[in-house]
Amino acid sequence: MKKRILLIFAVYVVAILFSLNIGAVKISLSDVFQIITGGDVPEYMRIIFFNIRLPRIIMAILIGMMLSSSGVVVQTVFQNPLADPYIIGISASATFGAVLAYVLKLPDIYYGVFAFITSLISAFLIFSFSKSKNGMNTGGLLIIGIAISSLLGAFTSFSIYMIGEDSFKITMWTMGYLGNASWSKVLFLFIPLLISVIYFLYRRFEMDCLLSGEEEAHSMGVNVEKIKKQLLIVASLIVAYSVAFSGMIGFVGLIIPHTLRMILGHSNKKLIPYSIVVGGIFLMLCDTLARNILRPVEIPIGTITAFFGAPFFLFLAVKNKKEF
Amino acid sequence: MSIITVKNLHFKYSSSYTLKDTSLTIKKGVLTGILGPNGSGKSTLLKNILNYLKYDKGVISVNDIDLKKYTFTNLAKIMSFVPQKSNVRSNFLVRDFIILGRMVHLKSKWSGFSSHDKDVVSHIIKRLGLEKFEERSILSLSGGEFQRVLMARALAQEPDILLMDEPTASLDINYAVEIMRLAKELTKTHDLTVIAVLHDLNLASIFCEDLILMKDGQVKFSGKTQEIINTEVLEQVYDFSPKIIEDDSGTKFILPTENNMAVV
Repeated sequence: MKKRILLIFAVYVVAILFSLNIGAVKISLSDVFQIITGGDVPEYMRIIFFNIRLPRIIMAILIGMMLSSSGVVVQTVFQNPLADPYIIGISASATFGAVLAYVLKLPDIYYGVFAFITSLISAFLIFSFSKSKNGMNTGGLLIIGIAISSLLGAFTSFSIYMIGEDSFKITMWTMGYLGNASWSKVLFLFIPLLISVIYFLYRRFEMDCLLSGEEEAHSMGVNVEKIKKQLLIVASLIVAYSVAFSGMIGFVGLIIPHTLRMILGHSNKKLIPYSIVVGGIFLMLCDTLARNILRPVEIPIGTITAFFGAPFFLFLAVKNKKEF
Repeated sequence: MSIITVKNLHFKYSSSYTLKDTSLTIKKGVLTGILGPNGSGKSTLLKNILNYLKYDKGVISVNDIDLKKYTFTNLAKIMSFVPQKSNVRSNFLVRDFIILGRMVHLKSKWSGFSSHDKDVVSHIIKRLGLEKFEERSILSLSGGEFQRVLMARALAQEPDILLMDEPTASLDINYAVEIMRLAKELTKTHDLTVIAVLHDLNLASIFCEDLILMKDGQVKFSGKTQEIINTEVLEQVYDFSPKIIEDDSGTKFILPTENNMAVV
């Protein structure tokens, strides 16, 4: 246990240093050291380091944490390993909300608010439609998710078309972009993340019980309906936030929880904290790739995660999985 | 002494009532079997007693307190449930799975399970002969082994009442007997009240002290097992004519016959 924590910590340090190090402007490790210790480096380097690269790295980590932990939770609520917020349409709904705020020419702050409201409404629609007498209906869930994604996606596409040349901002959302990171955004993301992490950890045992289905969870003293609703609200909250700040980044909530389930088993006591830390570093590394493989052109981060995630999704779907 | 009373219970899933004016009492510290043909409302009744399904009319009281007055936690402290087939498909270790039954006794969700919780679970694991599976994944177990794990999880709640929904339905006869024997033993050693929905008339006759026979959402007969098992009763409930034989101890065995279909 201690070894694993140390290992993760070491990986974090190395990965952050690596990511700080490379970019359109190269900042060598000794420069990094100089900057941190207040040594003699060019001013532009200090600005890039503190105002651009560091907040971006931290934002990538925070968003990765949000997406990954919300994946764990949504999968538990729907008792379905494929229920990533992206796939079942929660992300598309959040995008819809953000686009709506843009179309209505509201200030930036409303993007998150709108994204939150629309994704929450969708989450409940999906939740109530896919509920049957014997718990969640897997096939129904995916179909409903696809339907909602398509419907709201149509609105998003329409908006892009109507807005015309200025639609770059929306296009960016649909593909995910972390280039507009700032310290204030980091702070704004940190609070919901913290709340959700505390809440998810608090509910770890109930989530374990929910994996046995509603009836058994009820018999173990879980107020199934209330807890499922609460979990969905909190998961939607953080997905909405992440979409509002970084656009639609898919598959993180799918790949990370699954890989970890294979290694650690399904107990949420372990799964939640590990998903959070591993999700953070995964997205940061994806963003580092996005910044650097076609330097100086940036690739939208959503395409990178989809590039890894889609084959993984296929692998899961094809592999005859009895377990969840 | 009765521990559960059901009065004039009505419950419907959609348009027509699955339970119609059902009334019964369950005695404390006794293994009671609920029997009846498919669709007679046995499992529905059980899930109403569990307060999982919400009945439309009538009253269920547990320890003379209205079922609807119990909080989720308080109910789970006195009543636990063994399903016919669990919906779990997750990779838990047997021990981690069983200890979830202790959740309801947690003082604080932050603290996690205490050494007392762990002791209770160890004791149950030993009692059910699950020691050699403790560190295995629940997904690797056979049907009979897993059914015992489900029972262990239910017992970890340290309930006064254990509800079992066809706990032996998919089991080979040796496992089925083992589960029933254990349930009966617990009524003697721990004054546990067990209510088991059963399919197998003979298992019911051998192990249950009391029987409740249901048909069309109503209780048709109830009472001491050996007193109510007879040809007329079974004909009325199941629409079939059995051959009943009795052993030296007075336990009745029910055999199907080829020719005596009362209703075709």
